[in-house]
Amino acid sequence: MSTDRTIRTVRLVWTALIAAWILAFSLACRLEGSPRPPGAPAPGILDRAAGSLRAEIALRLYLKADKYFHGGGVAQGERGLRSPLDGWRDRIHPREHLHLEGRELAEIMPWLRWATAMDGSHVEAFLTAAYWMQSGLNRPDHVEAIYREAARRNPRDYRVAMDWARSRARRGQFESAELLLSSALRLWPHPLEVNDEHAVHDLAHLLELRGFFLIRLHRPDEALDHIRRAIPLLTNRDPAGLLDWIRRIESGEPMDELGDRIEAILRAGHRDFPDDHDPHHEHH
Amino acid sequence: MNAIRVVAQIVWLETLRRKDAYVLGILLAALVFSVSLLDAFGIRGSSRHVLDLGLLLAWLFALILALSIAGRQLPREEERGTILAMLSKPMTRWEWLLGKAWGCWGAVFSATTLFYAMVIGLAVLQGGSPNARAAIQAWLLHGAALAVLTAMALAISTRTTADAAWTLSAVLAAFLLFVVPSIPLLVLHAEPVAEFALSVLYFALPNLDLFDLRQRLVHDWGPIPWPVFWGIAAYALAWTGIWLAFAWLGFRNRRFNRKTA
Repeated sequence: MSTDRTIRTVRLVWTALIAAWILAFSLACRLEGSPRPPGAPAPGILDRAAGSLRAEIALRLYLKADKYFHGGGVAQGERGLRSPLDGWRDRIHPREHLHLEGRELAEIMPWLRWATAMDGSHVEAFLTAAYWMQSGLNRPDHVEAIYREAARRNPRDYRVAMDWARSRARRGQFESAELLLSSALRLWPHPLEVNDEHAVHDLAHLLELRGFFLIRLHRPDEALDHIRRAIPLLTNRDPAGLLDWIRRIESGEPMDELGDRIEAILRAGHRDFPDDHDPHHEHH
Repeated sequence: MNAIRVVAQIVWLETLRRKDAYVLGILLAALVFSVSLLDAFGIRGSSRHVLDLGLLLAWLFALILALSIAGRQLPREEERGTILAMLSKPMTRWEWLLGKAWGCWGAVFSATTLFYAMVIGLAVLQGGSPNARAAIQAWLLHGAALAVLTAMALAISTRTTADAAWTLSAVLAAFLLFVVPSIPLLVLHAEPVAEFALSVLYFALPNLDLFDLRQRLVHDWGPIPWPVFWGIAAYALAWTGIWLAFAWLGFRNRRFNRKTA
């Protein structure tokens, strides 16, 4: 009997120690929690309990979605040891690089949803979900809901407005897309720094994109102003394409034709057009 | 053979009587069912996450069961004093040990089979269609891994108390599952002494990652070639034999004292 009592006591002590550690760790994480953006909703229970730990978990969930997108394939890394069993190992874990397509893209959504639930400031997860919801799953209703939630949880993040504008432009909603781009320009560069490489790249993209939306809306003078402001900011792209657009506008080409061309390019998702970059492959 | 079977049946009956497997099974079902209901931006039709998380939990719960069932066999018999009655029967210690190992593995593998049935069934209800041959291979190799782990816990328990056996087995199992597969990467940045030590561990310990086919099932990569499957099964048989040999070495000359009231 005394042995049983001892065992029970030991288990109770261990349980108390583990509970105390969890409480202390959670409190420590709460003290190091990421700052709440102004205007963002008050933190919930999860937010208070997990603090900065949630950002790390959200990143892991986002990377899990990325792994799912690539069909679970594992990148071949350097190995410091070779074993006779590596032949079996290589047959178990394929290294092919592939991408999910069509309806299969639904498989990445749970992980992106949980990443955003864990950390609402993980804008990349929202934008990736919205992008594939539109281009892969063709669910514009859900796309709008994602952007609305992203904007509600990150009201001062220009990247949400910028991506939302691109999404609406792909669906032909140029007036509302242009308004969103104006909003994005006002918010830029928050939450990044003004000399951040990504922020500068995005500013160039914002200006040229708004320029092209203004062409589509038959406002050539404003369009020229935006495109000219974008050119000096192009650090790793040849401005020849933009200069060609300037030439076309100044030469008096019909705005209807220019606008139709822009709309066709946007709807087709051409990669050579105003940096129709795949947000899923951005890694910060 | 009869003695081995009788000992194994006693282990099965004891496991049925205890609630461990039922509790874990119910917990698994509840967790996986909850996962299947979680919102994914309003999109239905995804099932891989259910399979992924469900199989992860199945591995975790099966591991807990294996270590707790196998780790308590000998220490509990010794505490209750029933070990003396068992060893007075007309059977060798090796037969007793084999019976215990078979019983523990059989009980854990049966529970694992139910876990797999639940998880795969739920994934199918979500719209998934896991490859049948890959599922069978994943299930069988998981069983092979459990044989290795069960024998390991049994070996450790021949010289420790039940709680110590559980703790040591859990630490060693975690090391085998999480650290050993990473050693080829760790040695790239290790000092020479550490590199040598890690290399010894890598080749001297079982590589349990070979038994884990979950990702093949989740991402629909299909079954592995059958020669590879049988090779891994043979590898499991070898390591199970090694751990049982250690168990026998720890148990064969062990003396048990009759407890006085």
